Amino acid sequence: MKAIETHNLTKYYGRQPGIIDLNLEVEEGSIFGFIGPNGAGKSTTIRTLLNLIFPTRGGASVLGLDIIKQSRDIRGLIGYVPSEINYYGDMTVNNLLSYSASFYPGRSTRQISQLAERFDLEAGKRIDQLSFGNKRKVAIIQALLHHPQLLILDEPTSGLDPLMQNIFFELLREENQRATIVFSSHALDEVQKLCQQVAIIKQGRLIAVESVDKLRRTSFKKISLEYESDHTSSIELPGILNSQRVDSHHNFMFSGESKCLLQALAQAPVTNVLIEEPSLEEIFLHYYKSEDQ
Amino acid sequence: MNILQRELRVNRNNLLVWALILAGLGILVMAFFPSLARQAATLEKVLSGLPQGVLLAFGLEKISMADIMGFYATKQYTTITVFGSIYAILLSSSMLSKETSEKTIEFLLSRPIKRWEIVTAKLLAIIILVLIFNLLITCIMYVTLLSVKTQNFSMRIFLLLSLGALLLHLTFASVGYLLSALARNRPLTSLALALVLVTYFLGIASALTPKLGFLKYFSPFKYVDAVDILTHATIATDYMILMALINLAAIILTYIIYRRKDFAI
Repeated sequence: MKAIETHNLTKYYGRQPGIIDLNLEVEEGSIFGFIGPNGAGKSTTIRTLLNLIFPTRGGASVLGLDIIKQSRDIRGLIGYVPSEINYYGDMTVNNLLSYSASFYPGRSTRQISQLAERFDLEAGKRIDQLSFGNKRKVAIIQALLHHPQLLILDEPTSGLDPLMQNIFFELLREENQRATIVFSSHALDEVQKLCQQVAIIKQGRLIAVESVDKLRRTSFKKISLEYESDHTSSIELPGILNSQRVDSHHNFMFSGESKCLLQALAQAPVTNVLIEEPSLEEIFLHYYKSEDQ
Repeated sequence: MNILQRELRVNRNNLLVWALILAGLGILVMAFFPSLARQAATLEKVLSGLPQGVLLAFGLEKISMADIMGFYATKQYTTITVFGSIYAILLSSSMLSKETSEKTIEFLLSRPIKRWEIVTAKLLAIIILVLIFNLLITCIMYVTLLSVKTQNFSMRIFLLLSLGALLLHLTFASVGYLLSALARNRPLTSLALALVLVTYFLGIASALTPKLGFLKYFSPFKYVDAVDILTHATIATDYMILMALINLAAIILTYIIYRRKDFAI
């Protein structure tokens, strides 16, 4: 059984596409990253899986259950941390967590106080008085409370300071002993720390599903050079991709050995150098270009 | 159960404020009755001097203000029906849509619960709240009537008026509930309010001339008209059926719409 399986899952908002023909498989027990820029369709996918919205066509199953017909059963088995947290402002943290727990009769729930303590959260505070990061903690706790088999986390770390992120990641690794984790993010480094596999989504379409190890081996840098104005030839090295030369400016992606690049740069009449981490989109664009070659 | 409990708790204070203000107003109004009854003859004279249209609009040509039920029906009953309907429709028209506008629907719908269970729990909350609202007002009004009466009054008429108000409030609550399912992001509060006021004035218009008589079918206020109840000592069956149909249709539509609604937040 797959934790998540979608078949040509498609959602249009009126005429605007949310996701198009998404075919995705998430293995049970894995930690799965779901990455793409904002507006790529990550939240649309997640909301469709939760049956907050209905697919225009196609279908999907979660833990072997149909997302529309067996939606309630599915939601009993998953924990969900939304990207934007909107809870009842009049409740205290404790009220909200017990209200949440009251929807899972028969499922043993863990101690709210224990989890709150671990996240350094005051359980007596009112929700509308919480900071962004503290609301995030409440969302994480409510998702873990009923021992879910699948955790769906939509950009869960935004608002958490690095210390809390570490506690959170630690907790997720513990959870992974018994639960599948799906994790959406627009930051690759976050996903790299935790996930074994990532799916890349762009403009509603699934671009690729790749193992993190493989991605990590192809470490790209984005290089921008400026040569002396009379210099007409460009640096050439193995590992240079998508080389673009405009007048004295030379931009390219580099995935070869850093040492070679530095040596080449030292010998070239370069007046300016910029070495950057490429954006996620650029990595995948170039990554798949290089796969084709 | 948990949703129902929460709704009852969240709406408790609001209910008390509305019911107590409306009942308090009723006590004030009814306090004028004893002195009015003493000057019954003068009053009848003043009233007979009013233009025919005014008398028709408020049903004063058929019932006497010097009679305690006549006074209650023309003064306090109108207030209870109008403001009670406003209370009911404001309550119900935000019942489902507040979860969307506050975006808490994402929390609710990621719990293991079916959509119809949410609709049912909240519908129950509305019914219970409207029942308590009417019960409170009826009890307070009964005690008030007992203490200001100068002659005996018909308990049957009083209970029929109370029932009429309750049915009217429930009808507006059902229609408001449908509005709350239809609302996209913001509750349709203005539309709900307009619905009560417009149908109220349609009811008044329908009494003015026989030509506008057909308008009474568009005004639930006319279904439980005080003059009708006082003169016939019953609520007409066809109006009862009409109200039942409106309630049923609104509630069924609410379930249907909510079942397939997209919550893209």
